Amino acid sequence: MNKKDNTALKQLMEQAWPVPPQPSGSRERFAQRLAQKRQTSRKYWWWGIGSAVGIAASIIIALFVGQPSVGTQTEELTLTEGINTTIAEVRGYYKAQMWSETEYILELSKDMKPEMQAKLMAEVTQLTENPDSVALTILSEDIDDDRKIYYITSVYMAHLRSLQYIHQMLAENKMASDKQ
Amino acid sequence: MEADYRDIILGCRKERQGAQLAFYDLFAPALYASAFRLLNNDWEAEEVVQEVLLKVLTDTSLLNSEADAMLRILRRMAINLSIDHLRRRKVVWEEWSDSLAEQSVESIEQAMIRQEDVAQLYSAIAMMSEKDRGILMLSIVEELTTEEISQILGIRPSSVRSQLSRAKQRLIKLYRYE
Repeated sequence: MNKKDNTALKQLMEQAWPVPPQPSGSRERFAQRLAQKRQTSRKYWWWGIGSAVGIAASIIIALFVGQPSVGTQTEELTLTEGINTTIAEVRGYYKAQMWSETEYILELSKDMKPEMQAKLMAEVTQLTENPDSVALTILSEDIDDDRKIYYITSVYMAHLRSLQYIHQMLAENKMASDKQ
Repeated sequence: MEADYRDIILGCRKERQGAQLAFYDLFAPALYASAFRLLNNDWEAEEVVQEVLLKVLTDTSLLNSEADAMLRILRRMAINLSIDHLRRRKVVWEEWSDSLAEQSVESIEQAMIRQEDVAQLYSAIAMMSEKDRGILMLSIVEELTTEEISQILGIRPSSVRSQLSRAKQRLIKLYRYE
């Protein structure tokens, strides 16, 4: 296909399939999203790390010090339309990773005392279910959809990091005890 | 012009809002055109443009000090994202085992220029499947090579050639006999 022919065809196609103007208010919406992104990326980067370490640390403390953990109500996140399709995809992605982490943790904890393992797995289950109820709360807030998606993603990500942290701690403990 | 562009990039690296909006003004129309031609939906095309520009402006390592190179990068990102949107609509490009000979340019051009009926060509393009229209737009309007299209769609170059050839044949058929 030579260039000359392509150019003529391109012009014809462009003429036949014209592009309408951008929807009105595009530039303003972009400026708004840019400002939001700047604010939230700074705030939630630290929030994400902080909460991941915080949750994981509280589980480890609860497990080894024997402090009873606070039970939370688990709710089923029913997602059906609009923004919820995106959130369902986010949830699906993180849930899948959380379940693999749970499998690893279960495998690594099988040599634990049964009651300790039961306690650990109860905490792990709670970690995988908690984000759903937080997501429901965020969904009900009066903020725009992009923000909701961003916050909900941060929540799932933070909980996944907690599970990864527990997994890593157990793996390190196992390696240390295997060496001994 | 080049000096203006460098100022814009410098401002974007320092996260100055004025420069970031100038960057938007500079690139958004071209990206919107690329996204719209593939998606045929103005809101989805706007979403693609904004996602691409937000990504680049919040990760300043992606900024390029050459305007042409920046446009190429942004356009490629917009095309990839538009293809993702099409995939969400269940538009799938599969590997083809049979290989069709590439339609000669003369035949497709002759068929169209002979009549040169833009309204009829519009109807023909509108009647094509999203899959056929997408591959034609990538090849003819975005001027991507077979290899580039193959990378974007994740199928072999031979499949791209076959599907492109089939898409051209369908377009000619719709154009002539509508």
